[in-house]
Amino acid sequence: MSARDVSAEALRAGLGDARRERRGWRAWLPYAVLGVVVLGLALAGGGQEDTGEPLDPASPGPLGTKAVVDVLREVGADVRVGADVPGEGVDTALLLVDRLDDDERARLLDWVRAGGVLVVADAGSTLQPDAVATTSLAVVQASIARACDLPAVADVARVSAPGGTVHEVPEGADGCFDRNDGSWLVARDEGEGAVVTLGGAGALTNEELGEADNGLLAVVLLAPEGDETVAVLPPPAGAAGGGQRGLVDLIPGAVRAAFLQLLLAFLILAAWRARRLGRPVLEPAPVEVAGSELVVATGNLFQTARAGGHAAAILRADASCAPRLAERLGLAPGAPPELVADAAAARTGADRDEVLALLTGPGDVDEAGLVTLAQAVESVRRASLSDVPRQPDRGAVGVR
Amino acid sequence: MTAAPATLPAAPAAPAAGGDRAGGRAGELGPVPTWRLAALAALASIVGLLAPLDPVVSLVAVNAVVLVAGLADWWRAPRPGALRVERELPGVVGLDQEADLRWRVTNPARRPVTVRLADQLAPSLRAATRRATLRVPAGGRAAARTALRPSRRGRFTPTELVLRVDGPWGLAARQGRRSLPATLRVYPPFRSRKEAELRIERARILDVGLRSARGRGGGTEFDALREYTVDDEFRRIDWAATARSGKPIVRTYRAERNQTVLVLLDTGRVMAGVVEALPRDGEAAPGTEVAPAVPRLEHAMDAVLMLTAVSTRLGDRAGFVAFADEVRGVVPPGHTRAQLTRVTEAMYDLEPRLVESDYRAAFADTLARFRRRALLVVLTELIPAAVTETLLPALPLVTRDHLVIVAGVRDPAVDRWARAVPTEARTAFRKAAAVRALDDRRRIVTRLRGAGATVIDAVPGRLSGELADAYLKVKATGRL
Repeated sequence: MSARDVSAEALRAGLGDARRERRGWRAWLPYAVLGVVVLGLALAGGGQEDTGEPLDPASPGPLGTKAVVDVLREVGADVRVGADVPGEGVDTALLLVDRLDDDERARLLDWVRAGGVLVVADAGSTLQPDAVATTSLAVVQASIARACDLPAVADVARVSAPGGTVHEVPEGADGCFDRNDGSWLVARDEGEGAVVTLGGAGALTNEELGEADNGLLAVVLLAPEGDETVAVLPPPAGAAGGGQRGLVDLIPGAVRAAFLQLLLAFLILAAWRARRLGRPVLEPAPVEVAGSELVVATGNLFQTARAGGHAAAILRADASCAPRLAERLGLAPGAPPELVADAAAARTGADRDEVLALLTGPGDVDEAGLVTLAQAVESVRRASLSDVPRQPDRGAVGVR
Repeated sequence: MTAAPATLPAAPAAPAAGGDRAGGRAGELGPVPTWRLAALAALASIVGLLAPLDPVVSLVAVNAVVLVAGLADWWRAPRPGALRVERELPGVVGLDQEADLRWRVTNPARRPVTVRLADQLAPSLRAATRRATLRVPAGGRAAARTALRPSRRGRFTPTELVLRVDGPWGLAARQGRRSLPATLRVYPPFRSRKEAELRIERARILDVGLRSARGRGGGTEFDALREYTVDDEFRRIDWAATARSGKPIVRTYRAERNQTVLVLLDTGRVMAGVVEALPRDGEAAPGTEVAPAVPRLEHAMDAVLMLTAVSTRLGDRAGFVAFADEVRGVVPPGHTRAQLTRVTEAMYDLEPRLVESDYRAAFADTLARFRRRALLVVLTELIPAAVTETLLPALPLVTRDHLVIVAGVRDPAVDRWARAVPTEARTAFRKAAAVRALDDRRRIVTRLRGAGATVIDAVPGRLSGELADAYLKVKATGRL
């Protein structure tokens, strides 16, 4: 057995053994990978970055309102965050999002009439005066200068209220921060207390509180003295328009489950197709080198080396010395070119000088010259041989 | 060529059957789901949609049912080791022949089972399929077959079978391997068989003496006396016998018998090159499949078979030696018809080795084994370097006592290129290279002849014929 055979055999056997050994745990590998992937997805899905709800007084995110609470506490106010309608002992209240029902609203107004100050930051609240059309404050020109002499906001020069709305100032109320025939801030007395409505809570978010005099506005409205008790009513869950609900959340659960089920069915299908019935069969590959490789390589070498002269010499020698040709022409192999030319001309009727020129041409030829030469040599050879009856095949010699 | 069906059953009940029974689940790997399970899961999505349940609950519940159904079916599926599997395979196939392979599965259980099987059939066996699906009735058996058309000679040893047995509901399956070793020998084709028959017939005519007047020598061994007929030569008349019997009697002669022909097959690197086959006479009809290019060794093997067939049928003893860097196989000379099978048997597994052939060692070994004068036929390739460096120096060893024929497989592609009318530089250069290669070859042939060997340099389709003719010529001229 040759080394090659042995190695091929060993290779086959070795592969077989190794595979058999590994198969035990390998078979379970896809299932394990699948399990890890599913687990990972579950963990990743449950652990989304928690930036809190927009306008949430507990949220430090850019849309949260934790900064307002902090600022108020900084100036000494007692801030209570809670959904309850403020009652006894609360001086001011901030209503970020108005989702109150009629009963709650009535109780809130009762509290205001008893002397509370309510700041309504929800532009869509029913506590707001009518909006002037839908004039929204542009984001780029979000800053509004104070254009009133309301004593409470005397220290506030400008507010930045991107995305806010302006409202018509009703009879008996004061408007401030005017733009487009409306006021962003409208204050009106309500019994003993007052209701201040803002054209949106955008000015009070963590992101905007540092802009213009927004922080100051919050303080002067909610804790002008610095020792007030402030109630901040957080928005109910999901109150903000955007929320975390994506397209997928809007699909009914049953449909989603059905899709998930189809996905599982597909995975089973994939597992069925993935499991191979019998592994591919190995066999040593046979040698595949053309027997004429050497000739092709030699030809290419001639060409690469620009050995046109050498190749031409070979072809000329072939024309004059090829045994069968010389035989046909009645010459000994290796006869001088003149004799070959004579004989070939006599036999084929070709021009003797042409044939001679062909056989004794210049030593060095280029590629095109070589092609011409090869063609000419071949045609002379064929013409010389053609009028000779073909020799019977050398089959069954001496038996017939 | 015999195609004795060799049944190689693997009796699962016997502990000797590879231990796949003892191992129980040896070679069995986890449950395999089927398309039915996938379909069931897909249908379950509709149930989840319609059921008035919480989506999560219904999803979990439905999949628990699917899972349990799948696992239960897997559990109930018979183990692959519990089935009895047999592979019925002809022991020997000729390269050009088609063979039938049959799988038989016996199911001892009381439930019918569906079995898918995959056999370890090498691609060059060119099986129509190596997989089959069988529905085996309870306590019964089922069979499937496939056709093999080997594209390569040699020994093929499928060792195992993979079985996948479906559960009763067809939701999951068990898959496992079964050890089922077998050997399939693919013999080299004897493409020149017809030509061999033709030559044997012609030689027989000579032998019988009907045309003994022709043919140089016409045989030298006395055969029999018989009555004179008008076509007999006068010089063959045995006068003594004529005088005894009173009517003209002639002596008849026959060709020598019991001479030895030793074929030395080179399996070294020079025989590895791939050479296209020329269409034989009668095969050149349009539409016939062109024989693929195969290594020189394959063409040489055809010549070996030809010489063996012709010489044994003519009463001579044919022997065979395969060598490369060492002697790889020897068939002592014999004259029976079985000799052809023996030589085939010795050759079928030989692949060319990529080593330099050691002719001296091969000759020395042959001389040591067979001392009788013989016709030594060396099948090799006439490559200048190999011949001048190793064959020519070794030749005197054998030319002294034996008659030597050196035969080479000529590449028809090189012949074609040398005679081509080139149209571009590349082919012109290649023509020059081909012309030079043929020149070299011619020179080598001359040198070999000078060293006392008869040389036959022929393209694949004609090599066997020319070699047989050379042998017949040797016999006819009584040179051996």
